[in-house]
Amino acid sequence: MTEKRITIDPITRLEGHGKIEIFLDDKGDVERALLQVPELRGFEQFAVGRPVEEMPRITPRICGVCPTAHHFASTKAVDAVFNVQPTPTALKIRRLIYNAFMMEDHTLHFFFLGGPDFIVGPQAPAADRNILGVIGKVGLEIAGKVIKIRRECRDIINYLGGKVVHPVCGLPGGVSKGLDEEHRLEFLEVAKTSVDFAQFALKIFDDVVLQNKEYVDVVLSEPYKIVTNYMGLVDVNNRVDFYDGDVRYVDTNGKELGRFKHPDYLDHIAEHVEPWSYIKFPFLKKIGWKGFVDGEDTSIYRVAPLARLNTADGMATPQAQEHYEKMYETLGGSPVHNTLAFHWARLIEALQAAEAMVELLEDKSIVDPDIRNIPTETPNEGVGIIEAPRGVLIHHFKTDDRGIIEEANLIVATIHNSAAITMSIEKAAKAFIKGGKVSEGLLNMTEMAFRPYDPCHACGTHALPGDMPLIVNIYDHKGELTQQLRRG
Amino acid sequence: MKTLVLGMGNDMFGDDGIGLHIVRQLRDNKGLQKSLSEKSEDVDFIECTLCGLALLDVIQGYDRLIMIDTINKEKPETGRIHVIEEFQIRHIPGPSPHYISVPQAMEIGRKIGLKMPTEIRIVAVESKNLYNLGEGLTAEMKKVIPEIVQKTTELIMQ
Repeated sequence: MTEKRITIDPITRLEGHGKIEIFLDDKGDVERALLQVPELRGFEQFAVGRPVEEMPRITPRICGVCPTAHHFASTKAVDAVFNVQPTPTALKIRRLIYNAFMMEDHTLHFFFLGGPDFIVGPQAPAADRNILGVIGKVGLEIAGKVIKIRRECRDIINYLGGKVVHPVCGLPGGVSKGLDEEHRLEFLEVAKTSVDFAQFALKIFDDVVLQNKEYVDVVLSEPYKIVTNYMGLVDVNNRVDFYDGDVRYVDTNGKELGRFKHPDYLDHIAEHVEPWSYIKFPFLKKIGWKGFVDGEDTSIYRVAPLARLNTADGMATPQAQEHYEKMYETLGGSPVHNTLAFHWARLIEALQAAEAMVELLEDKSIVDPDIRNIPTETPNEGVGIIEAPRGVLIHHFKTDDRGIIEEANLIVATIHNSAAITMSIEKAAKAFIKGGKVSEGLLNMTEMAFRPYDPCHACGTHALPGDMPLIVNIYDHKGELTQQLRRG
Repeated sequence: MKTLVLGMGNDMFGDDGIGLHIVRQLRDNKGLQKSLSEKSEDVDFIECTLCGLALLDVIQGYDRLIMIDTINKEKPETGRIHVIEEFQIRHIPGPSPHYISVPQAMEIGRKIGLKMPTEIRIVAVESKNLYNLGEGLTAEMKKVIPEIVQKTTELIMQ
């Protein structure tokens, strides 16, 4: 069989990483699409030999985008290593910081990540489909509001987190800094503004996307749908919880397939290895590896906003619950398999985060001084699981009796979604490449397929120029470059 | 005039930590700090491991920005130093807010009316070792530290 290869390749600093390869069959149709995302190789070795209580300060440096998620995943793992629980006040403060983080991250990403696809529009010229294009479209006032609310939520994180760039407040059994009455009242105002802003963002989504048949058709279209299982954290009432709770997973029809406590994750998640990729592809152990296939028998699961909503029976706060119900009414009930609905779910979660901030700050006991339980037990092993904005994040450390790390394991959200991202890209590529003819908008269409997952390829370095153009190289069956599409 | 000396990078990735390293050295340099206070210069020294729009929080409010970072070149030579201006950085709107560069963050900041530095100099250092997990600078990079410090100091004192 003649094989043609198309490569969509981010060049710059992630050379060799985040590469999309599309293989065509002899008819010029897509046979397979492969995505290679960079995995943080070697971190396990990097961690070995270090005191485990340093991890909450080290792991945030893994990622320049979501350090807060890594900080708290490690903090929770360290609690477990020392077998100590945070005090009720410390737990409230951790939840407050975490909800502020979810609120700012989610709204930012809706406007600046989903924005190019929905606010600027899927058919807009490539040169406009970026953040500056979004600002041009929504106007400076709204763009300024996004930046302002983000800044105010960051101020809460910075005040309590204890360091401008990365939070360092999480200690085994609590936090390093409490809240006083003056700041409680100040932050409560920010929280209330955040609720209004999240509602405002949902209104924009309604006006721009839901009232526009063309966009709704794109959301519901076949190229952007894959049928998978879903996984996420839920509270005792099976409602969405970003910070803690059981890990629950549901099948393609939304029925609970299993749930587990954090230390048992390896009984439920296994990892498949492919020769073409050095990343592993997690799947549900209960079903067993079935390949990169969607549909009822699949063992692939997805994480991140839509997955969390599909996994839960509802939202934890009243206003978010109303929007949750509206989303499922509009899209035909849970679970929703349309990948572009991730953007809608992201906004509903932002609203829950904002409402949770209000609840936490209206509770005056959050200023209690009791913010730390001092660990007294010999350290050994602990797992911390949290919902990063991009999905389930697992940190697992084993130590000797002095708390020195002997083994470490991290599974980040993009890795959970790696098989699903590959499948989403393949499905979009199949729709937009026929008979060797590559649709004009292939880059846009392919980006739209993986953008909802917000895959984190940025782990690590920050070398200039710090941006990521895309290039599509099309090779003929002899491996010669016949066409190059460049974005940026 | 308010100046920000910004060291960008990640010291978990070998030479990528050079920006952070230089900023630490400059901040601890008593001679430099004394000259700055004699000249009544208002200079902040910040180490930054963030990327994306979060950069706006760090950069806004300054008149002048001097940034030290590593630069990716097709055929890098560890320790080769370039002093460049904002317009010389390739500026491509990326597919995700993860990939917002400093110049792009500044453009967004200006557009929405935040106070952004108007005078910008970037000390960009090439390295072959930006992607390997591990702390510490390579010997080649260590060798050019005095030169980077000197170049950055000259820019600060200009």
